[in-house]
Amino acid sequence: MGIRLDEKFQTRRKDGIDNPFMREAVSSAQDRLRGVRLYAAEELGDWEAFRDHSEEIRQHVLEHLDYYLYQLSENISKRGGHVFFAETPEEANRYIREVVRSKDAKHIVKAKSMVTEEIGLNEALKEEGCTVVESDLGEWILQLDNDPPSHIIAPALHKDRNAVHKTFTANGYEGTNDPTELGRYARRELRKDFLKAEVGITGCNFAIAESGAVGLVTNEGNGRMVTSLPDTVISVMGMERLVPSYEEFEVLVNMLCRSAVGQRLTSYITTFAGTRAVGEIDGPEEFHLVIVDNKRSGILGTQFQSVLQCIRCASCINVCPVYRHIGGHAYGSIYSGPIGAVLAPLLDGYENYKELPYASSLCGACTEACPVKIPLHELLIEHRRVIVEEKKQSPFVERIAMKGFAVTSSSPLLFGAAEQMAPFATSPFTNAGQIEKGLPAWTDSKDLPQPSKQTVRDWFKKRGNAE
Amino acid sequence: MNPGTITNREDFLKRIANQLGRDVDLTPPKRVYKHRPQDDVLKDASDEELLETFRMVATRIHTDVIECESTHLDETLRLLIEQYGGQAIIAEHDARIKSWAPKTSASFDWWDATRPDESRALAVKADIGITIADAAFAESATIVQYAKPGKSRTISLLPHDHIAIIPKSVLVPRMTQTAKQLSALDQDGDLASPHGVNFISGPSNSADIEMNLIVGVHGPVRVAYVLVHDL
Repeated sequence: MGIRLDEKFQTRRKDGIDNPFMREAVSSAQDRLRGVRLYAAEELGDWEAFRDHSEEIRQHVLEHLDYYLYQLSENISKRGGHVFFAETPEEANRYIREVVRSKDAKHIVKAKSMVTEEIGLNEALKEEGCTVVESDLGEWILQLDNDPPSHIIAPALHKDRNAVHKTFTANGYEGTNDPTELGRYARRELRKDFLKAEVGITGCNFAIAESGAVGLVTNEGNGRMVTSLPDTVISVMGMERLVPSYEEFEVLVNMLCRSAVGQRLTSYITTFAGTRAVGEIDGPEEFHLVIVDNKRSGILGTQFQSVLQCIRCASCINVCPVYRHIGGHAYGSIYSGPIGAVLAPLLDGYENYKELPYASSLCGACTEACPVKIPLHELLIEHRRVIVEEKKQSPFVERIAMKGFAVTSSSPLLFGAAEQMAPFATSPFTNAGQIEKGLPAWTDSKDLPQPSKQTVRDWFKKRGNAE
Repeated sequence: MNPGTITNREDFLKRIANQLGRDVDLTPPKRVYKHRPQDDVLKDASDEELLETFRMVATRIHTDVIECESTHLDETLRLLIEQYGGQAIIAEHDARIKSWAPKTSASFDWWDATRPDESRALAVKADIGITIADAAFAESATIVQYAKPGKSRTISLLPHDHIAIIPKSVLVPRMTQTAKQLSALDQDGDLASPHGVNFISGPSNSADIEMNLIVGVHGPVRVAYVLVHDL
């Protein structure tokens, strides 16, 4: 799949706004997830101190990233695992294909992982002639439908039970649309895949450098299945997703569970270090960790470095008023919401995502919600500055309009003339005092009153006379 | 254990250091943090208060808590197995509980490292898996299973029902205390922590369909904690 979805931003945005089920599903999920997060934060107490601590842990790791990646790789190697550092998605996919080929594997099960979506691993494995099964319930639904995720935590948020029922029925299901019954069907079907798979592939919430371990945070248990049943396990991690020791792991896992789903801890937090120990009879016999850069290193040392603090909890997405209206697919990236608007242009270029930093009201709710204190709305403003000043990629119409405004507003004569002309120039597009045509990007979602016939100068003159 | 390979590390780390405006630095950095709120959570709670929190949170995560003394453990398990109605049971040995085996009509087997294929097959077909917790957290009603010889990663996962025996002595306020112990096993480079750790809080679940909670997705559908007061 890769990080990028198809179609232009304006088309995707309109598709989102015109989809009432999606909008209803998104707003109710947002309300619920935001509510449980606030409750979980309140229950914990001293939330701000936890945010401060989480921020300093993440900053410390980024400042010493070379050391901690060195330590992690040394320790995984000592515990029998192989470590491959991949600069590009192609390198990562090539290595994983080689491992799969060397095991003569045909059946692969995966646990939910954003970074493998990012590098397009499933497509690469299909070229290798393998069956790849996504085992997270939401991801499986999307895979059966060939649909991209619309939320980091709840990837199938945009589908209702009837849509899931239809998808499962096409796959041989004969039950009702009751979510528990649908879930049991997934359990039965996927259990066969878990037992058949020669290779399991996971992402990584946080690797633990000091212990040479990879940590997964899940609720369904598929992460445990994927790392306990197949003989060979491959974990793929974004290079910044690690912590110094179990002590920091504990702090961040706590923040992740509470921020993402409002749970004190999710049902399963699993760490695994290299291969199974001598004397153990389950767990992987062969383990590979693939550490992916994919343009992350280019963010280090820049004004955007703090975005690498992200722990992928989706808190920012769950409070974003723009996401609420347009949904996840509109962002055109597997990373949606405020974090997507900051991250996607950095990982995949401004050419593809120059609209995203503008898909924000800059209300700052994202920054306030972030458990690791990434100043998200400030980074969005910084993106806008770079787009306009350095990349000169602001929309043509906007550049002309801004130039026009600069000329007009610097001359009192021109400004006065423009003010008087405005109501007449806009009248063909108006109805009952509101502009309705010509500026859909604005008027589809907000009112735009026609400029008043009374100019500011007239108003000021009258006011002066009255006094 | 043979060490694994490490590929492409040097250039990768160089690129990172360059971006950070320095050379690669492999001296262990000092970890100086200004904040440490995790030690204060449930700091002054008494044993009874910890138990109370554990019970309350377990209920919230759809998990039954049954309490007993070790002399009644077999009987407690027998009743629980009857209630669950399982036909096949698999359990793990543990030095802390010398001899126990519930008298039940269901077929009962031990996880046995000397019979790997058989043990794995039994875990796949068992209805109930019985484990003994290495630690438990009051705050989140979590049990901890260390993967080590003689213990299994899968008998708390594959069966429809999971019964976790929890010696009361392993109950701590929260994950902070266990994380500290695990780190202590590795911090001098000994790498003595288990190759696998499972922190389990109740049954498997998902909210992927319309945000409705489905209890029991891939892992156990029902979980019971048997808290043994005198162990």
